[in-house]
Parts: sequence; C-alpha cells; structure tokens
Amino acid sequence: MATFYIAPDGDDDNDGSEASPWLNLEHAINNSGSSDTILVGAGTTIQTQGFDNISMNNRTIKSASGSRLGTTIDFDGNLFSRFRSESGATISDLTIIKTNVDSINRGTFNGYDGQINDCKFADCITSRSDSSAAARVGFICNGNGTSVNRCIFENIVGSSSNGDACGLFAIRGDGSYQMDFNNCLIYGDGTAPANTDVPDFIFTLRADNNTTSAIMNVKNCIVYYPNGLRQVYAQNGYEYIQNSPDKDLQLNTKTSCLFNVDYTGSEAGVITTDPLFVDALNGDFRLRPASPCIGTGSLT
Amino acid sequence: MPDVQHKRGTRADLNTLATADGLLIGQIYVITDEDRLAVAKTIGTYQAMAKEGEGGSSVTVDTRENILATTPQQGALAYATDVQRMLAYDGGWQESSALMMPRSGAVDIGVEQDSNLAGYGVDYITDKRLSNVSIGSNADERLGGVRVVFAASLGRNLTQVYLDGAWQTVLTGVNIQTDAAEAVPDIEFTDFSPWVLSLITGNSDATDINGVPVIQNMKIDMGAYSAPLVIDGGSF
Repeated sequence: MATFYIAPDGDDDNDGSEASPWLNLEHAINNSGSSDTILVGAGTTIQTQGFDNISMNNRTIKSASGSRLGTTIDFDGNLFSRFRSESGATISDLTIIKTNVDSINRGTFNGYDGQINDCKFADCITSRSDSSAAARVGFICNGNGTSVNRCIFENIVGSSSNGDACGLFAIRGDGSYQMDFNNCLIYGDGTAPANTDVPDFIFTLRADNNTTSAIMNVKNCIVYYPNGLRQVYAQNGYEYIQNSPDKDLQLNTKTSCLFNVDYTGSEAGVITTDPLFVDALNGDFRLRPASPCIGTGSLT
Repeated sequence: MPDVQHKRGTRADLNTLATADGLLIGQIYVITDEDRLAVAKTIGTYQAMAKEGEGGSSVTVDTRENILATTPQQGALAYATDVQRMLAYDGGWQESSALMMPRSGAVDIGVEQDSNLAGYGVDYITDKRLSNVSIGSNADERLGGVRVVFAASLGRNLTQVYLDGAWQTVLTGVNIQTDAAEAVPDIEFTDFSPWVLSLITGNSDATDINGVPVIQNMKIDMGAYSAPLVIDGGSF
C-alpha cells in the first residue's frame, strides 16, 4: 500500500511523492494501485483535467492535514468529474468544489459503494440534458453500500430533464441497493437547478423491473433550504419514489431535521422546525442553545 | 513474597512516642486502629498517609444556600443544583459564572457536535442579551458587520453595516414611516411636528378646512384656505 500526493503546486510530471506531488486527482488515480492512499496537500488544488468514471477501487483519498478545512480540490466547473468506486474506496476530510457532470445517466459519485466521511461539497452540478434514455442522475448515485458520514452538501444540484430518478442522491435499484446518510448537512440558497423542467429532489429512489429493493437510511441529518425558492419537494414530498407498486423501496428518515420541506410524513424523530444554526448566513452551522436538534439524534 | 513487618501501634501509641522524641526518621509505622501508614519526619513528628478512597473528595451536590453555609476543607468542590453552577472553596466560596447544562445521552442532529448550551463565547455570542454596550470600529469586513466611524468629510459620526461587499451607511437622525392607510401608500417624514409630510408629494397629511393639504410641495400658504397646486378636473 503506497502513499502518493497531490498539491496546489504539484505537477503531473512529478513522481507523486510528498516532496514532488502531482497536480491532478485523475493522474493520481491512474498512477496508483488498489488500496493505495492519495493525500491532498493544504490549499486549493485546482484541477486542469477532469476524469470520467475512473474506478477508485479501495483507494483512500484524504487531506494530508486530516481536516477538510484548508484543503480543497477545485474542479473548476468546466471539467467533467465523475468518481466511481466498485470495492469500497474512501474519501475523507476534504473540501471538493465545482464538480460538473452532464451525464447520460448516473452521477458525480457514480456507482459509488465506499465511504465518504467528514467532507464538504459545494457548488457542484450533476445534470442530464439528454432525455433520450432512462436516467438515474444524482450527485451520489446508484451506490450500493454507500455510507456518507458527517458531510456537508452546499448548493449541490442534481437534476434531469425528463424526471427519471433525479435528485441529489439517487438510487435506481438494479439490485438490493442501500445508501446510508449519517449526521450530514444538506443546504442551499435556493438557486434554481440547471437543465431541468422537473423538481429537483433530495432523495430519490426508483425501481426497475428487476429491482428487488432499494433503501436510503437518513439519520441525524439536517436538510436546510431557508429561502424556499427551489421547488425541491414540490410534488411528492421530499421523497420521489417512482414505478414502485410491487417493489420494496424505503426511505427511512430517522431523527433528522427537514426545514422548509414539503414533508407530509410522520416518522418518529423527524423535526420540521428551524434547526437554529448559530450563523448560517456566514457558514456557521453550529447549533444554538435552543436548537431542537441538540441531543435529539439517534445513537442506534 | 518475603515477610516485612513495620513497627505498629495505635495512634495514641505513636503520639506518645513522638512526644518523647522517640521516632526514627524515615521509619514507617502502622497505625493499627486506623489501618494506615505513617512516616517519621523528625524524631518528634510524623506524617500519616491517606488510605485507599481518601485520595480525593467527592463533589458536594446541594442548593447554593446550603453549600454556602458550610465550611469545608480547602479545595472542596460543590455543585449548586438550584443555580446550576460549580463552586470551589479557598477559604471562602468561589462561584463559577458558567452554567452547567443537562445533556441527553443522544448525539445532536447535523454535522456539528460541539453545541454549547450556554451560548458561544470563543468567536460567537448567541442567544444572549446585551446591555450598556457601545459599538466601535470594526476591521472585520464580514456580512452583517456593524461599526461606528467618523467621516471627516462630513464632520460627523456614521453608523454603518457591511452589506453586499461594502460598508453601507445607516440613515440616522431622520424618522420616516410608511403609511399604507392612504389611498396610495405613502412614505412620510415625521420629524416636523405637528406635520406629517409625504416624501413623495411634499404634502402634509393635515388638510385645511377646504380639504386641501395645509403644506403642499413643502410650501405653506397664508390663511385658512390653501390654494390647490394641482388642478383636478374642470377646464381652462
């Protein structure tokens, strides 16, 4: 298991060592092996090339400092940037911004089946302008066994022009798929999603004929759209379950806070009142003393 | 394990020996009626040792009134249940200003797990009231920042709020109100009592006996019948 580095002042002609880091994550993935670690140096590493659907099998990508604060990978908005994990890759302690995928189907974290821990994603777009085929588009999409923990999703758009299984987090169940979200914050400023004529949903599950089940477990998360300008939940509430009369599709929102959400469910522990952040406008999402989210999460 | 026996006796026996300057410096004695050890410091003094369980004292939990009525050992700690504060004794009771807050065994919902139930003190103050404070300068150009600065070009102080990437001056010294009760909603000055003057027309709300505003276009006529400045209807 080797360790390689990328950094803001890196160069893909380097050898990937700490003293001589690479620049592009795509280059690092292509030049490392399964189970290797890629550390990201402090600062903002602006990518000069994108990558499409590169498998990150078992690799670990994380900040060298151990904190997402001060360590950013910037995909520059114009680059195609699509991650894939087929056997449990881990991404942790990073800030990742401005990914941009216009996909035939699937999404930015496409078929991702690993762990994403303690990261922040901001100003990312996953869209699907081609409506010729069935879609399942989502920022994190179709990952079986995906576990997302303590992550922040800020102004993320996941949308499709024909409405099939589109959303920030989407499963089109081609098997017994499951995604888990624990202690995450999902919020936006109300910016309208691009390339869409249908509402942009947060959690989307869609069944196909061969689907046996698809489950999303959402626990101790906060979904926060204070401006309410975006019709995120306009149609079927916050969940969009399609073609599922005889399928086992489950969206379990357990002890979460859904603020400004067209939520009509009655799941135990779900809060729909303002989570009372210290200063959301300036990015401080700590909870104020009177917050209904303090001490009301689930340990199990 | 080899057998080692120390000199032994009751506390009274040890005191008698000490009074007679009969202690052996550095000798360990067993005080048999207290099940504790003592070490001779001089031929006439010794130091008794604490036993297991005597290394520290538990925190007293009681009301503040009851705690303040006690005279414990130096360094004693207490928790006042009625005011949710810690107290320490250093010859008198000292009370912490920080509140102790109940926490459930469950985690918080969301990313941040460092909620401070008493309000933030390091870089934020929240859910607190401020009294007898003043606003000064502010070098932090952050959305929502507030400052009071002296504008030399105007020769007076300004109150400013940082909005949309710049310091915006707050209008002060002028009182304006909206009046939605009028046929056309109005914006009005209220500083020139008894007059309420429209910022839009310059007319007063008050009218003469002929129904015409007493002040029109910021001007006032003599007499009881103001001349209408606007001709409404009729023909030349």
